[in-house]
Amino acid sequence: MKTILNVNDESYEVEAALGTSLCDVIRETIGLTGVKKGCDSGGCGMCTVLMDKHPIFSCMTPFWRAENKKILTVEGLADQDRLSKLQESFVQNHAPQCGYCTPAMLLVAKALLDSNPHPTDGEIRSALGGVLCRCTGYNPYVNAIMQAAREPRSK
Amino acid sequence: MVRYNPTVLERPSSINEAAQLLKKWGSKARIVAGNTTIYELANQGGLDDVDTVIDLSKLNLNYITRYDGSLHIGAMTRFVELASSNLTGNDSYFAAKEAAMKLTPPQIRNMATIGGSACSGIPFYDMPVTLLAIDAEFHATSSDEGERTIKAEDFFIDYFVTTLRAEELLTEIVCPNKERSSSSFVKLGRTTIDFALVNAAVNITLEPKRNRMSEVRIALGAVAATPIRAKSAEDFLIGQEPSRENIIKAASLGLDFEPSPSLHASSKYKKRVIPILVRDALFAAVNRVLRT
Amino acid sequence: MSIDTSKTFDIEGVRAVLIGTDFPKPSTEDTPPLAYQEVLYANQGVLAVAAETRVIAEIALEKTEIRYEELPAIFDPDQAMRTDAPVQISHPGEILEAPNVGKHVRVYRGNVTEAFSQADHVIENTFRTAGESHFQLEPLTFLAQADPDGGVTIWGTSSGPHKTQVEVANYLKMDPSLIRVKVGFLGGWFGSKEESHVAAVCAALALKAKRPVKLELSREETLTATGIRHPAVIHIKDGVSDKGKIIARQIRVIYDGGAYGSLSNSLLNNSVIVAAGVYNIPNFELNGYRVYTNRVPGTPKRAPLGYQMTWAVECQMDNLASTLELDPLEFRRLNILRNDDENVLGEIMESISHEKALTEVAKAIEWGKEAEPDEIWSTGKGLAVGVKWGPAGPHQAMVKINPSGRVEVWADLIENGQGIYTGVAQLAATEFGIPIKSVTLVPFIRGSESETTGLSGGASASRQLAAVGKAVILACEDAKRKVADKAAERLHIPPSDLMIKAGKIFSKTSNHSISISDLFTQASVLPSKLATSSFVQGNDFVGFGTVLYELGTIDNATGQPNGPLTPYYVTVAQAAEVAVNKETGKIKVKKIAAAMDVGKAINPELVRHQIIGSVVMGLSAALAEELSFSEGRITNPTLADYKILTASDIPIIQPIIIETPYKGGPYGAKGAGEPSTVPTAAAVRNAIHDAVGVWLNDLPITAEKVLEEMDAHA
Repeated sequence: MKTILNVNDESYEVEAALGTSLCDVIRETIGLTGVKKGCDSGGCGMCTVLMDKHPIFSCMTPFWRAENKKILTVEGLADQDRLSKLQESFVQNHAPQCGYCTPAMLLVAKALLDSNPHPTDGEIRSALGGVLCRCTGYNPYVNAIMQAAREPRSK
Repeated sequence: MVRYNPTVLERPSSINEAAQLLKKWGSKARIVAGNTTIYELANQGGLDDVDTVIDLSKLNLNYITRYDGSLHIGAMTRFVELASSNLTGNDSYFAAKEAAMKLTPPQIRNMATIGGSACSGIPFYDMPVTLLAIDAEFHATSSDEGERTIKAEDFFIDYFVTTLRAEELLTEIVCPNKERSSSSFVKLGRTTIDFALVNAAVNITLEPKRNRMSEVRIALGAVAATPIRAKSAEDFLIGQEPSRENIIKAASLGLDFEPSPSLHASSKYKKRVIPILVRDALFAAVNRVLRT
Repeated sequence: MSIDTSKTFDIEGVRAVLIGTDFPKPSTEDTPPLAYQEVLYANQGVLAVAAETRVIAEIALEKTEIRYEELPAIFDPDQAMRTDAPVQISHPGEILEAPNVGKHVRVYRGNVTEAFSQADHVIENTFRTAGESHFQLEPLTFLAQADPDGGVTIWGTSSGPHKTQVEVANYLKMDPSLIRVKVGFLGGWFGSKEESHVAAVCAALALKAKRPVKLELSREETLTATGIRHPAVIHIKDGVSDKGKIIARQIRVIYDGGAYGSLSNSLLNNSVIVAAGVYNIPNFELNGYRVYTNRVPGTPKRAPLGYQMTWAVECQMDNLASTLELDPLEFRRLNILRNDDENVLGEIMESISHEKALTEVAKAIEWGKEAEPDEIWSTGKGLAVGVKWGPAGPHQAMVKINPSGRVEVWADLIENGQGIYTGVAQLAATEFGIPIKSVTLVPFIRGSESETTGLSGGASASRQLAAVGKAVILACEDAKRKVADKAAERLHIPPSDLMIKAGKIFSKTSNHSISISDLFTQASVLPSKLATSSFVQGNDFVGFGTVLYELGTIDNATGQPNGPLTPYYVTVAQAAEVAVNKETGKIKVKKIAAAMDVGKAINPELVRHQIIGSVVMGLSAALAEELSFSEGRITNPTLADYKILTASDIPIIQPIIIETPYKGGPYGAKGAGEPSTVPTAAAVRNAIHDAVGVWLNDLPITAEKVLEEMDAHA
């Protein structure tokens, strides 16, 4: 099936078998490999993308479900060379380790701060609940997000 | 094992059209609502001979409205919409919102639908037990038989089995609003993000003129092949005051059966913790009613 | 089994088909690329197909007829060890001392039997740990391409290009120099990518198909068919005096290693190191067994085999303290090893800090101060202390100085999130007095490659900063000497008078100096670009460094090693504060203070983050992770049933760095990636006992087990 997907504000014409997941289409057809496939069963969160601002598991989403929606992946966060506030904070706080979960962490954090600019520690942890991390123990990410939330909106 | 590889995508734009498609394709078709439970099934090889996928997203079944003294939830409403709806503790069906808010992880909350959860027939899911407690009615339609309404106690038949026939489509779930009534939902998991080892939902209604319980519905999930009601506990509370002693007594009565064990919780453990959950759910529901 | 692949190739799009007998007959105890005639564990790979698309490959697998004849199997290590065991698993080249015992080590000192008879109390307990998945978020993936000279290049999730190179060469019976392995960033590791049999399958498919092949294991395959943490059963019997001294300790530990040796036979010594490295015990005996069963093989996972022993020992310590009515902290202090003490292996302890680490973590959670009682939640505090060992083998590095003063580091370094590139760049930068940005870390740019890096064990045993880093420093020193010699010639100053900093060579005593670029000979006949290339200039300023850890082996007859079993010990200690729900048994961990003695923290922030990450992994295994087996088959291969902690389950974690320099390490540093995962489970378990008075001896600690114990002792 052929359709047009809007990813990171760009239109992509894609063609794939009906059973193909959004994750596979983004990675293989469109070529954005920031989305990862950690378990392909909606359990680990590596495949998280934002669909109309909501975090979803792209491995479990048929690609045609993304029609007429806005998909955001990690590649859409930075503005050319300028990292987003969250990305900056992740770097400053040395939050990522192997980096495999980092795209998903950034996206769920962005979704959180966009709807709740001053979350509590508990709210941050709940928002991260669908993203597994084996390296960091989560706390460095929570600190980085808390710090990004405290900073004033950048110009 | 070959993963499922459908070749036809149907995207009906009306309920009639959807019903006709269901009749046409029968078991060679599968409905896609949130695609969450379905995906698990596909991974296990359960959909290998499914050729046609029926996408319901164009049916405008994503709504939450109140009229006729009831809450009407479209079958395609996602948990996130229910979780952020304007239901309050004053509403007798508040537990639906509470269950939606407690559904984890967030990504699934943003994808899964109320209808899909109800139709899954999976006893440890959160929506079925909640809908049973809040006396929900399920509205279904098929092209041959037209519309029918099914009460919650008749809806869940067995593991993976609801009363819906292969050609029937669930369109709406209706939850009645009762005066001086509220509800709550609680669950116990292994970790914070988890399916329920045991879950419970209760709906308490007080008499109009005095603080005695006129209707009590206590539903338990993850303890049998379907969500079930704790009849003994319910019967004990009818006509009683919603006092702490009565609640604790009732909670301990919620055990007139052997809960079925699961991979991660024995029957014995479930028996031990069911009274705790029922007690907590009763306290929450009662407090909500008394606050209004 | 019999596999009929005659029709598989007929399917359009299929390019290569392999079964176990297409590979040379196995000659070691390692997991073969594909099952060789007999399938020894559930989900063992039996057939591999390379095709134009994944769907075609899956159809080909489906349509290939495989017939199995069921043979008797053994799933229980205790049964497996019996002389009348119905199944005897063994592998080529092995001589087993007993049925299914892949390896047995015995260590003893003094006379435990006599000491037990003199003890005031003899306390015996059995402790168990469960199988765990590494669950690094990146599943195993390989890409292989046949090279024009008959060799093959492999990219992918290997933990060390040299290891993979040698092992794949062995599997394929090819010369190792024809196998090229390149490893980039790893999406987490923890020991998961040690085995090379999957890489061998990918390489073989590429050679057969004569096309590049990508092999991605699904999560379920990664979890069920590649190695797990060994489940273990540990019996400890201690004799103690009323005064609080352990006078005798007897340990029997059985590790279920699964169907193949797969690295774990050599790991049994880790158990010994841990049992010997913490406490001062005059009479000691340990018998350790690594047993074969028809289950998925055990492989290294973060502090393998020592982790399990620490659980048992630290649980037992609290049981002992309780019997003696002594404070667990005091009891440990009475028995702990200090520097210059001799341990049961005859080693003199050095650069450890067990007592200090315990004191620090105890202070951090206000040991001794009790919380306010609560109707539903009961709080408690617990401690544990442990050690981790260092690496073995050779580690080589090469350092090249460029005319500009930039320095290139060529070494086998695998970045899997711990920040090794940063750490090693820091070392080189410090050696040369240049900013980190002036260090070219070659594996960062090219990946770690078998052809261009020195030997090393890859990313294992927390060796990279401690051992490879040390080799890098030696290489830097070698390069600096060569530079100094050349500069000495030109400046007519003795080399000992010179120092290197920021691209220049300075005299320490006068103000003579020369820049590195001036030292390179001008080759005017060559194009200017080539003239300044350090490669063209020859090996003038290339330094080499080698660190070799030759460790001893244990002679079961004498019960003693003939050399050190580890180059150093890393002290770790943790204290946990927990709350237990008296109604449901649920455990809430409120705080963990975790101390680790890293010798020298080259990058303190990165060390702190390793502590936090390690603690959470230990906590997840303590409370939630368990591979459930039924007749040898894993029954919970998905995340729905194999639970891993998420952000909402994490307590406050306070990392504490201690530095007792290890003289063989780079600036005194020791390996920091694994140790802090070791004491967590025991600290939590001991805290639970403090809270509700029950002992949990089997991992994981679930609410159900806690409640059951509480009910039993009500």
